[in-house]
Amino acid sequence: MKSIKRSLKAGMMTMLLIFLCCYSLYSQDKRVIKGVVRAENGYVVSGVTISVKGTNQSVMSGNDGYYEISPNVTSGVLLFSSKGYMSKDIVFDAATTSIDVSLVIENLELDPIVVVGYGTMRKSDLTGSVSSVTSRDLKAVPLTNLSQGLQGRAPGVMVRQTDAAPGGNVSIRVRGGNSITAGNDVLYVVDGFVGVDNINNINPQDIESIDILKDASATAIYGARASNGVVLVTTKRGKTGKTMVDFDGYVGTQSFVNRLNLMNSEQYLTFLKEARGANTSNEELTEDWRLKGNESINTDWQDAILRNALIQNYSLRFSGGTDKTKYMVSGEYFNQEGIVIGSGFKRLALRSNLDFAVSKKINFGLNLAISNGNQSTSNPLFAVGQAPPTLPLDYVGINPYDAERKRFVNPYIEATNNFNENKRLKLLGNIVGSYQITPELTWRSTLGLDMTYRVSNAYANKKTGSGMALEGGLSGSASATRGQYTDILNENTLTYNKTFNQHHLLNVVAGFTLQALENESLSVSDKNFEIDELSYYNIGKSDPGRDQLNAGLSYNNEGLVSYLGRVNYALKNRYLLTVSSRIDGSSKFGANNRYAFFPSGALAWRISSEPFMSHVRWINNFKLRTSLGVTGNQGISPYSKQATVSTSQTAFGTSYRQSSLANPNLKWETTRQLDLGVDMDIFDRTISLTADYYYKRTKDLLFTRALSGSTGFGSNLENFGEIQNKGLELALSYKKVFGDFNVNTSLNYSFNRSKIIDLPVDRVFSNGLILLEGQPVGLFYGLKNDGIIFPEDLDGLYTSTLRSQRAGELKFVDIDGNGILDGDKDRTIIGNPNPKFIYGWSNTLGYKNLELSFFIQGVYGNDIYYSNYEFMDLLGTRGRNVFAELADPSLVYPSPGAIYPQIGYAIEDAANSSQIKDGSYLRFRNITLSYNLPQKLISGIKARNARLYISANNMFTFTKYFGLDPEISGSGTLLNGYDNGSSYPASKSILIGINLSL
Amino acid sequence: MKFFPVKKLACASLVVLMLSSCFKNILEEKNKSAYPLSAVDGKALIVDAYDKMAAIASDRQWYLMTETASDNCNFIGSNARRRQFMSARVDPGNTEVSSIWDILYGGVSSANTVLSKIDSSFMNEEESLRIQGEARFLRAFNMFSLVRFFGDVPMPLKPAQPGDPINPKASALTIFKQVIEDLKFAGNVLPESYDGQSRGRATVHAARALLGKVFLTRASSAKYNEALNYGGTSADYDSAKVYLTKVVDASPHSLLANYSDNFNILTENNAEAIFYIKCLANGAYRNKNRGAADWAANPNLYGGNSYAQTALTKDLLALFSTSDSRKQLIVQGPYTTVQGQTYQTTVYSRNGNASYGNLIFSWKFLDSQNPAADGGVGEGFQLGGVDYPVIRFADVLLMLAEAKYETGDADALQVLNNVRKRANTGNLSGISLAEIMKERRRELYLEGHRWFDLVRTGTLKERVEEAAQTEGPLIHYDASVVVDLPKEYVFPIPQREVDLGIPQNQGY
Repeated sequence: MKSIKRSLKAGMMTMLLIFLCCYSLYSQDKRVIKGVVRAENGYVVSGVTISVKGTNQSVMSGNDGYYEISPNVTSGVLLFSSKGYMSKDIVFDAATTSIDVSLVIENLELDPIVVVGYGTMRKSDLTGSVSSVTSRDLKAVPLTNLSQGLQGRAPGVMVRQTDAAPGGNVSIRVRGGNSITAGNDVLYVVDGFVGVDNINNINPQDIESIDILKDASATAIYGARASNGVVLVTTKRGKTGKTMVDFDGYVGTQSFVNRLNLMNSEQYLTFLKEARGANTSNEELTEDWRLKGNESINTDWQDAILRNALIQNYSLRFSGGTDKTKYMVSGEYFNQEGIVIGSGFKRLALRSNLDFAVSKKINFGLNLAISNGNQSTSNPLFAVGQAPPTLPLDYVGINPYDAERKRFVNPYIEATNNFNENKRLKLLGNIVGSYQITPELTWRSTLGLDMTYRVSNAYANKKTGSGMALEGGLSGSASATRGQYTDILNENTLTYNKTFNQHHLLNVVAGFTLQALENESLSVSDKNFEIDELSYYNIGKSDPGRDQLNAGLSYNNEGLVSYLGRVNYALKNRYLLTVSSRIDGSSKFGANNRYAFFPSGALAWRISSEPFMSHVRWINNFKLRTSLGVTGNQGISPYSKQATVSTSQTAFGTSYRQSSLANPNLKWETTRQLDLGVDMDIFDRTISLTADYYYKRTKDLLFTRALSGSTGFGSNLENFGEIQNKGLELALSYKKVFGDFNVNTSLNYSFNRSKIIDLPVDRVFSNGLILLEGQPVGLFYGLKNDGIIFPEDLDGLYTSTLRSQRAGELKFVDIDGNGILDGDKDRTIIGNPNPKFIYGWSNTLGYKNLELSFFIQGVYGNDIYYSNYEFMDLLGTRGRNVFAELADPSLVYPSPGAIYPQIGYAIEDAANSSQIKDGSYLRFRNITLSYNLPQKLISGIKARNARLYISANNMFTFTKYFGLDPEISGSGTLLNGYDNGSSYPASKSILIGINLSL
Repeated sequence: MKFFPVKKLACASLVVLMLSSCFKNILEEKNKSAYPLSAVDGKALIVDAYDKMAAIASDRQWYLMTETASDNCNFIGSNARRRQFMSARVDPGNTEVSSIWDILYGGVSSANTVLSKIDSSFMNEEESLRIQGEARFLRAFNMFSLVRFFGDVPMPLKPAQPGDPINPKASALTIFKQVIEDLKFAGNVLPESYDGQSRGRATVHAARALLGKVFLTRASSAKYNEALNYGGTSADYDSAKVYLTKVVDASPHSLLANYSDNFNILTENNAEAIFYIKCLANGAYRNKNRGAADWAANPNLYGGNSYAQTALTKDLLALFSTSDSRKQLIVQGPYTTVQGQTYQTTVYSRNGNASYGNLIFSWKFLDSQNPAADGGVGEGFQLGGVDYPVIRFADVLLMLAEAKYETGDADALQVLNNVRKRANTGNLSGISLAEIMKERRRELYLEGHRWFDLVRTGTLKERVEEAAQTEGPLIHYDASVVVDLPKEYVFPIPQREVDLGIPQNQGY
C-alpha cells in the first residue's frame, strides 16, 4: 500500500515539476551550507531557487533535491522559492552547515488563478461570479472547436449548436437572454483582444483556460458589450525551461445520430392512391414515361446523401524559454468531412506567443495567430422530404406526382453538383508592452488587430435546381463574395498594486481604449454560361445576350472609445471589495445618447478565514459574495440610428428608397444585475460547491416598434420595454484519491426564468411565437389541438371560415366559446421553448494509468415547435414523401386512436399545439477511455508523457423528441426551439487519439 | 509628490492624447455604401414613389380586392386567407389587407418625402414643379385607392418622424378634397409626355383622366350609394366631363385598332395607355407583372397545368357576344398552347382530388415574348413584363359616356359605341347605367376597376350574390358563409393598425 502511495505521489511530483528545469551548481568555496529540499509530503524537490537575501547569490536544487551554497555573508537569511510552493525564509549563522527544508505545496489547482477583465486574480479573492474551464478539462475531450469545450461545463451557460454542419455556428448564452432583438451572444476576449470575431477559427489545443464572466461585477468593465456575459480565452504561453514538444492527434469516423423515417415505394404509392381519392388511377400518377412499370424502384434519398465521414486533427506545439524570452509556437491541421455529401470543414491554424523581458521593468509580448478555415456547405436535406422514393437516383425533370407539375429537386444531384465554399483567412495579433514605473505601478499598452479575409464561392451547375437552363439553354449559376473585416484595438492601462500595513491589499486598474472596426465586402453573381467546368470562374463569362452579371460593394464601420477603472480592496484577506466601471462611447448610437456609464460594485466575505472559524477544520474555504451592477448591450447593426437610403434598379431607372426612419435617441440596452453567491470547499477540498442566485432587469430594449403602415414604414428601432431574468446556478464537485483509484466528478445545474415586464404591444409572429407581458420570452402561440374530429363530434362543433369542420380533420378548442373558430380569439399559449433546467455531469475515474471519463449533458422541460410539414403532405398533391407512420392505419383517422387526420385532407399549417413536442434530452456527449503509457516504456523515446485514448461523441441520446435531433435551435434570438425540420443532421463520432509530450 | 512619478505619467498622457487624435473620427459612421437620406434630393427619390406602386402589379392584393371580391372572379386556390375575398367579408387579421395598406401608404410616404426634399435639391424651377406635380399625382392616386377600399383613413401629408403620434383618421370627405387639390396642382404642372426611360411617368393627361375618375366616383356614389360620404354632388358629373373631355379632345391618346394590343409586350407605351405600371420581364421580381398575369385567372400558355388561383365567372363570360374581340382573350376548358399542345385547365380542390373543371381563364396579361420563368419544366409561373394599365383611353371614354349620360348629354351613346365598335360588337341603340357598367366590365375585366364600380353604384352585394348563383357550386364557395357585406362597402382596417389605435370600420 505504501509503495502505491509513493508512486502516486511521485506521479504528482512529476506533474508539478514538469515545467521546471534542472540545473546543479557546485560551489568551490570552503564555507558551505548544504541540504536537501523536500516537499511537505517528503519527496525531494528539484529546481528550487535558493538565494541569500540581500545579495544576488543564488543556486538551484538538483534532481535529488540536494543543494550547496556558499554565502558571502556569515549570517543572514536563505530564501527558498519555487513555482508551485510557498516560499520559505530560514535564518542561518556562522555555525550553520546544513539546512534541510520542507516546502509547502501551493496548490494552484485548489486556488487557481482566474483571468478577469484587464487582469488576473486568485479564485479565493474573487468577488464576482466566474466559471473557469481549464486546459485539463478541455484536454479530456477531443474538440473540434472552442465553443464545444464550454458545453455543459459551467452552470448558467447554455451552448447550442445552431448549425450542426462542420464549421457551423454555435450560440452561447449566459444566464438566459437579456435581449429580444439585439442579440444574446457572449463577448469573446482572446488574450485581451476584446470582441474577437469568428471564434471557431482558433485551435482548441492552444487554449490554456476559458473563464466565463457572469455577474455584473465581473463583466461591467466591458461596459456596453457585457450584458450577455464575457468569455475570456487565454492561450498557452512558453515557460522558463527547456523546449517542450507536444503532439496531439486524433482520427475518427462520424455518422448520423438519427434519420427521418419516411415511406418506401410501396407504402408511398398506396398512400398517394388513398390521398388522391379513388378516382385517380395509379397509372395517372406515374404517367411520366420513365416511371411506367418502374414501381420497383425504391430510392432511399437519405442513404444517397449521407455518408460515414472522416474526422482528423493534428496539432504540434513547441514551448519553452529563458528568463528573458519565452515562446510557444504551434500548428494545427483539422479536417472534418461532413456526414452529408459535399460538406466539410478544414482548418489550418498557426500561432506564436512570445514574451520578452527587455529589462526588469520593460516587457514585451506578441501573440499572433493565423488561421485558414475552409467550410464546404451542402444541405439538401430539405429536398429529401420532397423526394418520392419511386424516382431513380439520377432522375431530373418534373415531379410526376406533383399536381402543379413543379420541377423535382433531386437531393442527390443537389448534393453532388452544387459547390459552396466559405473560406476565412483570419489573423489575430496583439502586441503588448508593459513598463513598471514603480514596483507598485505598471503601465501597459496593447495594439491589436483582428482581421478576417472572407472568400465565398458558389457554383450550381446545369444539373441543379438553381443552375438549370431555362428555355433556350445555357445557365449555370455562379456567385462569389470577397470580404475584409478589420478590427483595430488599442488599450492603455495603469495598474497599481500595493499592500499597506500587511492587512490592506489594494489593486487599482485604470484605462483608456480605442477600437475601430471596418467591414467591406464585394459580391458578384452571374448566370448563363457555356461550360460548367469553369465553375465559379465563369463569372464575367456569361452569354453576352443574357448578361446577368450583378455586383455590389458594401461598407460599414463601428467605433468605440472607452474609459475603464477598477478597484479591488482586500482587508485582512477576509473582507473583499471590488468597484469597477466603464464609460463607453459608441458610433452605433444617436447623438443624444452616445456615451454611457456602467458601474458595478461587489463585496465578499471569506468567513473561513475568520479567527472564529479556525477550529472548524472541515471547512477549507467558505465565502459569501454579492454584487450589483449595470451592463449594456449594443448588438445592433451599425447605421441603425440613421435614415439611410437603399438603391435598386426599377422600370424608371435607379430608385433611391428611404429604408428606415432615423432615431437620434437610440441607445444601449441596460441590464442591472444582482448576484448572491457562495463558494465552499470542505473535507480537505474533496467537495466543492459554488452556488449563485441572480436577478437581472433589462430595460430600454432595442426593439422595433411597430408603426402604423400609414407612415410608410413598418417599424422603427427604438428603446422600450423591459424583461427580467432570474435563476440559480449550482456547481458541485467531488474529487478524491483512493490508492490507485481516483474519482473526479462534477455536476452543474442551473435554471433561468425569463419574464417580460413591460412591452407596449404584444407581439405575435407569423411563425407561431409570441411576446406577452408577464410571460417568458418567445412562447409558442397558436390554436389548441384537441385530437381529430370524429363524426360524433360534429354536432355542436364550432364553425369557421378558415378551417374545415369535416370528420377526419384536426379538432381545435374554441377557447372563447363563441361557437366560431376564428384566427385571433382562439389562439393561446401552446408551448415554452425555455428549459426548466439545464445540467452537465462530467466524471473521471482513474485507475493507475487507465482513465475513463464520461460526460453527460442535457436540458429538461423545453418545448420544440416542429414547424416543418414538408413531410406531412397528406393531400398527396405535391408529390412529396411523408412519414412512414402514416402507413400505419391505427395512427390515422378513422382509427379510434388516430393522431393524424384523414389522409387526403390538407394538414393544418397554422401554428397549433399538435406541432409542439417535448424537447428534453439527456445526451452522453462524450465517453473517453485513455491510457497513460508507463514511464519506463516512454523514457526510451525521451517522452515525458504519452496518452492514448479512444473517444466517442454523442453516442447515446435519451429523448422523446420525434424529429431529427432535440438539440435544435433556430439561428435568430426568437427562434429557440424552432425546428424547421431541414437542419443539418447531428452526427456522432468515434475517435482514437494520442497526446504525446517530449 | 514622490509617490507618483509625475513626469513619466505626463509622458504617457501625451501618448494617449496623440493616439486619441489618430482616432478622432472613430465614433463617426462613414456613409460609404449606405446613403444618408440627407444626401438625396427629391429628383432621385421620385423614382421610388413610382416603384412603390409596382406591387399593385407584382403582388396579389390588388386583384384579390378589385376582382376576386367582385362578380368577375372565383377563387380556386387553396389558401384560406385569400379565399376569404370570395365571400367579400374579410377578417381584419387577414394579412392581404394589411399588405395593400402598406403598399398604398408606401406610395403616399414616398411622395411626401419627395415633397419635403424639393427646396434642398438642385433643380430648376420647371423641374422642381414637375417633380412636385408627379409626387402629388402619386399621392392622390394612392389616397384615392385607400379611401375607396377603407373609407375614412389616416392622410399623412408630411414625412413621418420618429416618435410621431399615430396619424388620426381623416374623413373621406377631406381625403377627396385633398386628392382633387393634388390632382389639380399636378394637372397644371405636369408635362405632355416624357422621353426615354421616363416614359410612363405621370403626364398632364394622366392627371386629368384621374381627376375625371375622382369626380365621377364622387358624383355616382352620392347618387347611388348613400352609405358613402365622399361629399359628391351632381355638379361633379360636370367636373368629370370637363377633365375627361380634355383628355379625349386635347391629348395624343386614342383607341388602338386592336383591343389585344393593349396587353401585348410588343405594343407597349401605345396611344391608349394613359397611365400604367411599367413591368419588366427581366427586372427584379417586384417589377414583374404577376398579380394580374399569373394568379388572376390565367392558364399556363407554355405547358403544364394552370397555376392560377382565380378563374373568371360564368356570369362574366355570359356578357360577351360571340363576335366580341375581347372574348378572344378568354379560354374555357381544355386549351391549346402556342406550341400546339393541349392542356386541361386542371385545378385541385381543397381535399386534393383532381377536378378537371370547365374553368374559365383569361390570358390577357400573358407575356408572349418571355416564357414562364421555369419554362419547359412546368412550374408555370408567368412573371411577365406586360404593363398593367391604371387608366386606358377606353376607360376615359366609358367614364365620359357615363358622365354625359348622367347629365343628359345626347352624345353619351355615341361615346359608348366608339368603344363597342373597336370590339366589333355593334352599336347599342339605347343607353342606361346598367349598359355602361356591363360595357366597362367587358372592356376592363381583370384591370382592377370592377369592385370600385360596384361599390360606387351601390350594386356590390346584389351582383356578387347573383354571380354566385349563376356559378352553381363554386369549388371554394362555402355555402355556410353568408355573403354579408357591411353597409359601408369597405374592407376592414387591418388589425395591426387597430391595435395601434386606429378605430376599426363599422361592421367588423
